[in-house]
Amino acid sequence: MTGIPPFSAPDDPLDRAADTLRRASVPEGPRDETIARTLAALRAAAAAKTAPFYRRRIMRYALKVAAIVLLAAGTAVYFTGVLPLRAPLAFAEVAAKLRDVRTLTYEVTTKLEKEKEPVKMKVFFKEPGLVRFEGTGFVGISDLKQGKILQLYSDTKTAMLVDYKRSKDTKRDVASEIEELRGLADKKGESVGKKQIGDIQAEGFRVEDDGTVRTVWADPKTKMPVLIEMWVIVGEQQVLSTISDFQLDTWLDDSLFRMEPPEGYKLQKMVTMEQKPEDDVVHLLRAYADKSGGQFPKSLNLGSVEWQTYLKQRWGNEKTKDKEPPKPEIVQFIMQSARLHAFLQANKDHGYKSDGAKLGDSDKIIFWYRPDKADKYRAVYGDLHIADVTADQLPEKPKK
Amino acid sequence: MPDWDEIVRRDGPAVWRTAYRLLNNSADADECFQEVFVAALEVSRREQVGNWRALLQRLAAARAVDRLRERYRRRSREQTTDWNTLAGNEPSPSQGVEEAELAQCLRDALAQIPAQQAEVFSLHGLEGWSYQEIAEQLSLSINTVGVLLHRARKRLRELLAPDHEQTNPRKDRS
Repeated sequence: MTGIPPFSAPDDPLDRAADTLRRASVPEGPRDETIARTLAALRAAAAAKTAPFYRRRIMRYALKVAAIVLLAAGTAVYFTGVLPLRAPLAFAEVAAKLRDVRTLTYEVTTKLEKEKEPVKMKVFFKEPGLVRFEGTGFVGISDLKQGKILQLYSDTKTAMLVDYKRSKDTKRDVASEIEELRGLADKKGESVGKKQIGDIQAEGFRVEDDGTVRTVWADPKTKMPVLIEMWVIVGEQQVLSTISDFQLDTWLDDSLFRMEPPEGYKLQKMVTMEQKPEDDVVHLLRAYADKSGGQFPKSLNLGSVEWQTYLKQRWGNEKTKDKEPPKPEIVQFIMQSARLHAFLQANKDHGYKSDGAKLGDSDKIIFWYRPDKADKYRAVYGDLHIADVTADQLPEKPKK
Repeated sequence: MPDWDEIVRRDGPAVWRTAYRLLNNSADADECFQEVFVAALEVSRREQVGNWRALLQRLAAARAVDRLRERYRRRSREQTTDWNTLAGNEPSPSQGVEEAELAQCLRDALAQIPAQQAEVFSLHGLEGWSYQEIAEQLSLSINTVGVLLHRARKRLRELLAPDHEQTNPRKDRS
């Protein structure tokens, strides 16, 4: 370039203003993390055969934020853990690719029925248990083994650190699922034929788990996954969530997963969360009962009508300002819900029976589960106290 | 296939400074920086890139202007203080209050003129590009660049005039 124009016309406000901007002190360049993130984005975009990740406007209601985070959390769990457990033999090589990765990036696209634009989220995973989510105006960095999530809201320069440590009583959590899938890639599934995706004639595999149907499309030449389609129920809507743009074992710099707010961000109150599933259940049920005159919900499925009604009553009318981050209590509720959802998916030896029970009933067990390798069950009663009980004390026979 | 590590290392600092100078905020400059390189990748898929730094700085100026306009629109809608736009957001110790205010007024004014005019003004007035260089990068004639600059300067002067009502930005929206 030809150089900066000389200082001129001091009486001209425009020249003075431009000269001020030119001479203003400017940092030398971007931080290492910014460079690393940019290089990762470039590699992702370079590998993608379709258009790169585009920014979308963030949803403005707490309820919608809740839905997206739940979806993202659920998707990560399914992808890393449950899916390969049902993988067919013909799919074993694809599952093996996933099983052996040290780093993994992909994009999750979710289209809610009442939203015009799909919500996209880029996910970066790196051993051991480091995950980064990037959405529009939002970044989440999670250390699964440490049990911490750093949430960054770029529009308001707000950071929120969430502690979601999980008890060792839990049979499986997100981090351990990644380990478990490495030993399991040869289960049966159902072939659904071929489909043209871009210039790839992909082979599909249908995987069903507890009523959730996923279709995995893989490139038969490279054995790489190309697309995963998954139907999820959110409230009364059936939502299609897709996972695409996979990249395995690309270099991801550690700075992408740094658990420190960037310069200029204000760190909000840390949300410390309980560590055991029963604590999550107690928290959610107390919140529900407080709004329902002491009644408990019929299920713990937050996608059910009664839970959606509760969420709308509590936060649905609370419109946040454009791009404002959700309140800490909302984030805590979302995180607990997502964590309990993941736990219930992974731990089959649990039950919930609220029939006739009301808040304060100290003799009625409403929730129970058996911790890993334990003889007794952890039970939550109607007055929300917690105790260890034997199987014959449970209101229903344990599922085998 | 471009060597992105080399391009980012070589041209990244200049690109980032172009964004920062307009945005005056590290976090915004960071986001703009990433967007610019991904956009440049898309450009390189369509055409041969002869001058990477020029392409990247042009994209940085365009994206930064977009962000300035978005900030300005948001502030107009909410009628509240947008802390990102205040000069005090990341003050430079050497930058006096008056200069900081002047610089911020120019950023606000750039948000109110047509984007292409703001982009051309930024490249010429802040980055020191010649008419010829701007014309080549934006695929315009030199005459057109001159016209755009003339209009930009005229409108910016009006917006920076002491008696101009800055608090009603909508009437100036292009």
